[in-house]
Amino acid sequence: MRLDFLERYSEGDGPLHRLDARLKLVVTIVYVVAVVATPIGWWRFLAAEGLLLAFLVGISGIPPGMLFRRWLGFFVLIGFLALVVAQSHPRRGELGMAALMLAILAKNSLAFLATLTLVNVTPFRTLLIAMRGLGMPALLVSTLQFMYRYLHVLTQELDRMVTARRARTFRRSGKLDWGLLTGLIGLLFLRSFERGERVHAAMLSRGWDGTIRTLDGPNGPAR
Amino acid sequence: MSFVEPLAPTLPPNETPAVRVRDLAYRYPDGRLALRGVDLTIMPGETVALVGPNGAGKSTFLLHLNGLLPGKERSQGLHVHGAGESQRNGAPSIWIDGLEVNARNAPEVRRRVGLLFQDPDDQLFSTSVLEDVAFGPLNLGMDRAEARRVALECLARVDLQEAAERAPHHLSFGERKRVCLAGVLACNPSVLVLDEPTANLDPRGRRRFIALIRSLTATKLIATHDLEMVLELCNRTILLDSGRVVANGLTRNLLGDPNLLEAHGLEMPLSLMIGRGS
Repeated sequence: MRLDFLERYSEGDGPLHRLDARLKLVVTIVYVVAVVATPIGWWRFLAAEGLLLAFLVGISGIPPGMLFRRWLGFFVLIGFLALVVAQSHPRRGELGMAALMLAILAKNSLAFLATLTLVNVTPFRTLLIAMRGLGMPALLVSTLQFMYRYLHVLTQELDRMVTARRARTFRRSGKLDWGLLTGLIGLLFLRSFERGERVHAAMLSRGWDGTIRTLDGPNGPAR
Repeated sequence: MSFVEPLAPTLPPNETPAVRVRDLAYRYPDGRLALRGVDLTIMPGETVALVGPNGAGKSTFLLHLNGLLPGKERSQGLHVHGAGESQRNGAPSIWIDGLEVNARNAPEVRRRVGLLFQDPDDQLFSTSVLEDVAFGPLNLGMDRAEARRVALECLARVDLQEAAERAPHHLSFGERKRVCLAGVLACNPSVLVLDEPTANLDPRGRRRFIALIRSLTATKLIATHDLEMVLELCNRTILLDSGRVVANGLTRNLLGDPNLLEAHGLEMPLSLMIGRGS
């Protein structure tokens, strides 16, 4: 159950939760594309985009503190990336290093926060149905579905392995060192590979022939 | 006394066995021999237990019944794990209701044989329970409304209709196991093959599952270590060890032979011991 935080607020009943998932998905994609396409230097436009998102988060009922904490983790990653990209950007001389880094950070953060907001106002399953509804290929949707389902199974497996390892680690710090953790991750990879084979066998035994069929088609659920 | 009873002469002359296995051998890809000439017959409506120590070849054998082993599907563009070789000497070795199990017949065989896997997480891969149970019916070619109806019906049979819209990772182990059974039942198989159906279930969940299995009319083959359940459900027991059928006979006789059981890593069920006053 460790991963429940990923979509803790998705089952809520705010004004955004009640919207059609397809609309939310399209709006998010348009928003992300707009943010990414905003030319560097259009600061007012970028600020307006930021305000729009802040407004949506405000009415969604998602605690901003939660978004902020998740963003912090993202910030570490993207901060490093911004540094590297800004160094080698062709317009570095013209715009200055600081402006470039700020623009990269701001754009990535807005896109990230928009997506985070989407998954926190839409249950993942509804999102998958919306993707089908928008004509996304069944194969892609199924891949996402498998990822979602087995993310939970594999985290639980990793949890158990870490606990077992911890029970045999006699150190004062409760944390596992990186060496051990890498070994566990390798083991988890092997186990997921084996599980993949068993899942495949189970699918074949229920008549799967390579075609993905779902109860909810591109035209919405059949009732 | 030998428990390998000659079953063939006692067969009703005109009835086709639900499962017939003749001289089945299988070698793992790493070269170990998993099955060495398995012979058995199961008649329609029978409930038969398959027991034996860990590594006896039970699960490998079960995968053969569904045509999942040996991995012949490569030619169809689907790969099946463990593409080891079955040593068939050119002759077929498994029939389901008289239908030979081979790559060509695999779809029909899988429709007839429902296989319940030991770990429910291997079988439950959809994001909702209903979607998962409907997977089989949709593959059988039912339209969406029909598949939904069958899925709901099967969920009701395992008493989980209220869980239809829930995500599998929010269910308990016992509930997931029942959803898996519903998913198998939804394909309406004539032969049910259950791999360790009661393993890891709490006593109430186990009791419930046993009652469920008992209520099913299909021919059943149950691979298990739960010998008390075998006593309850199965008339006949097949003991497999090192890839061979060591004994095949009435459950009471077989499970009542402490020497035979001990020789093959098993133990007489407590209820039988008490019954004998030992």
